[in-house]
Amino acid sequence: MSGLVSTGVRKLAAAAAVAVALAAGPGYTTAPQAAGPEKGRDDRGGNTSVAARLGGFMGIFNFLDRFAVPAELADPEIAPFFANLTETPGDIETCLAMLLDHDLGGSSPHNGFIVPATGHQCRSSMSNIHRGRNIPDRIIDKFIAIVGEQAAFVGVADSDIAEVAKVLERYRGGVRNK
Amino acid sequence: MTWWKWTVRVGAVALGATAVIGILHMPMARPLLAMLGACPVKATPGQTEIARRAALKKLRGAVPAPARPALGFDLESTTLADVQAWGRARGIACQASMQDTLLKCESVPAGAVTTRASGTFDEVAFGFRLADHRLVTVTTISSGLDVSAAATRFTAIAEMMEGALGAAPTAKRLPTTAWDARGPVFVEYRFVDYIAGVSAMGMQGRGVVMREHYTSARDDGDRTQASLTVNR
Repeated sequence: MSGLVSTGVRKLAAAAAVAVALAAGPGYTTAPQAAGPEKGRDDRGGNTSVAARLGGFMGIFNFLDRFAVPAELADPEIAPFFANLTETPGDIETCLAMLLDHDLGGSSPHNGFIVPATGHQCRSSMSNIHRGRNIPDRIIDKFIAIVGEQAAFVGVADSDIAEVAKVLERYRGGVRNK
Repeated sequence: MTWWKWTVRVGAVALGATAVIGILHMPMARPLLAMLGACPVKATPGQTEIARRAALKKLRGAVPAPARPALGFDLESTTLADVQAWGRARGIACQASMQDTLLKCESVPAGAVTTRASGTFDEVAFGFRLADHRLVTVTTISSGLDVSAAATRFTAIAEMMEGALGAAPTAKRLPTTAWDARGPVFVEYRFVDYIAGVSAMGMQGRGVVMREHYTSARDDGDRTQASLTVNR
């Protein structure tokens, strides 16, 4: 009986944690800085990379937070992968924003950053992150399609969307059917 | 007791625990896993619903939709049983999961749903509210389309949406005759109670991928809270 009660409490607590995290978000007011001597460039000055055109970490994070991740969460197939017990959507937004910023020429660290609000540490291995989830190509197609359509929705240029898609495609092998 | 007996016992326990965890992750045992507190790999249906509600707050528009088309299904009215019966009647393979809040149907002919598109959808996914298993979202996904077929299908769907929802979507980027699928095209409608759209873009080695979505954006928070209480 006590086991049943604790299961119920755990479920409610987990649901509440997701709700709080979704409501609060990581709460960035400035871009988190790389711990090491990452590219060492200010994305807003002198950097002509795709990341800079997208507003660096903050621009990419805000795009994910306000548009792409909500659209992913509205999809009944993708949402369960975003709202699990160990990572909040805010964690995923932060780590994905850093990864995209890094891979598109920005100054974010590729991995290792610890999300202040939750203590979640961004990891580097896509295979490890997605292990056991058995994510098929079709879900990856959907994920990239949603990022692409939302980027188009907010007016990102086709050429920059193609670069974002290319970065995401590079990780397909590490995500698929792990 | 000798040390090797302890070694064997510890090994047996570890092996047994691994086997139990493995068995619990097989499809037939997942409901039991959910009852035990859910697997950390995927969210529970309750958590998914909370996440969905939060997401819709960021996505929904300001005015009510003039209609809420969803490929011939009625959002917040059609039930899981209705869709399963629809699939059975047409010989379409559908599989339910996530405590019957998700139903995925494979290789759905366009003629099986209400659309102006032709051909076959790789998959049509139906999302149901946890509390009463009423339909809240329908999505389609198709990949491997060539540019010409994708443009034709996209235009047919966009025209259908325009006929039902009006000529002024929230945003759009339509395919021109010169469209080569390197950039996405999309039409998106965002109302206070309904969100719908279609998009298409080329992906490396996947051809053109096209996605449609039809979602009830009404705030059904009361029902969600009730369902969480029921599922404790």
